[in-house]
Amino acid sequence: MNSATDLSPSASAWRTWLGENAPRLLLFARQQTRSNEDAQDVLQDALVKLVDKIRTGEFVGGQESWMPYLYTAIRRLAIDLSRRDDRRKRREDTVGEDIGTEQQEAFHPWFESDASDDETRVLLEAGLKELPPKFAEVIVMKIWGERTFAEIGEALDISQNTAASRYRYGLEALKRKLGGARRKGDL
Amino acid sequence: MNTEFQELEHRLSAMRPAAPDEGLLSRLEDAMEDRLALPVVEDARFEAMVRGAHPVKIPAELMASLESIVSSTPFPLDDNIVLFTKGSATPRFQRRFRPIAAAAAVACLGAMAALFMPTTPRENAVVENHPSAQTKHPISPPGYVPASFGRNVEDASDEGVVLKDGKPHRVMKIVYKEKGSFINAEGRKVEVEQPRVEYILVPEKGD
Repeated sequence: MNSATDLSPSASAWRTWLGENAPRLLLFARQQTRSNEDAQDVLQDALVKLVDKIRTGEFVGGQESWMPYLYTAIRRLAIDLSRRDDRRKRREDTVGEDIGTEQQEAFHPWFESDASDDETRVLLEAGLKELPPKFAEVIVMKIWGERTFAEIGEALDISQNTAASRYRYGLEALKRKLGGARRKGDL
Repeated sequence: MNTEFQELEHRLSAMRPAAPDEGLLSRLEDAMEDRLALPVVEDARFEAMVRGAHPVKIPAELMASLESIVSSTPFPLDDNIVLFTKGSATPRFQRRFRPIAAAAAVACLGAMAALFMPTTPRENAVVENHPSAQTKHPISPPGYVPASFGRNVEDASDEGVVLKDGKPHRVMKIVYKEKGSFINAEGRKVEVEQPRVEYILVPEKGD
């Protein structure tokens, strides 16, 4: 990778933008897909779509509209990928492959590891993965994507109230999961 | 058979739907009073704790791949300001000093500039140095009036150095795509787009 001083103003601006936003988008992609590899593919494809639209002048709105667009694109691409995978799975016996994928996922945590509070992070991540996806996606977009309920609703094709309601349900369920772990002495 | 059916129907109609739990009732109340999207004080602490977990950084390989996707796309700061990529701004010629080649290049570019940059705009001119000098909506079809108009920068490149008034100037070529929508008296709308090239002279710094 080039040092910042070697970069053009454009490349430097893109790097800053990606540095700030790509981790959030990857987290969302991880939540939407079945593996780390799928998440990376989906994130790249979504970025290609955005850049194509910017280049051809088809993109409506300014920079502030990029993240909502990317969240929507990631979600749609993940759904398409999941449908293709399902069709493939029906044709193949992939039991062994699934176990391999699960083991692989353990090596690709969703969150940064902080030694002082690593247990909480592990439990939080596990809790988030166990949540019904419709709750987890709202939590990921709200907390780490810093989206408003209106934006989340638009990206997920649900009303603002439904997004807010799913967020609360999800947060409460997550709290219960972590509370349960505390009582069991895991935390 | 008919009696059995009636009995089943009777049993089913005797069943009562379960009452919604407290949580759902309170959510329904909040939704009715438009309070659902407001932050809940009890959740704030837990939310802050959850927020403390930071998404993993992008692996270097993936970051490099993402950067390559955007590398040739100028970064738009807003509708009017675009940061150009290095590729498009890099001069296409070698900067090493070659007196004869440099003199020939400057002479050629000077001649080209003289051809392309007349003091008064010519008909069918390819080069436009004064956007204000052109007609307001050059792509307007007959019988239609403009409804909206916009343009995007498609490409920008450094075309080298020319001499103007004895001083070196860098020639920047900017390719726009103009888009316009037009409406006629019957309310029929058409959309037209065309590329437009603009050359800008930037005084070159001397030693």
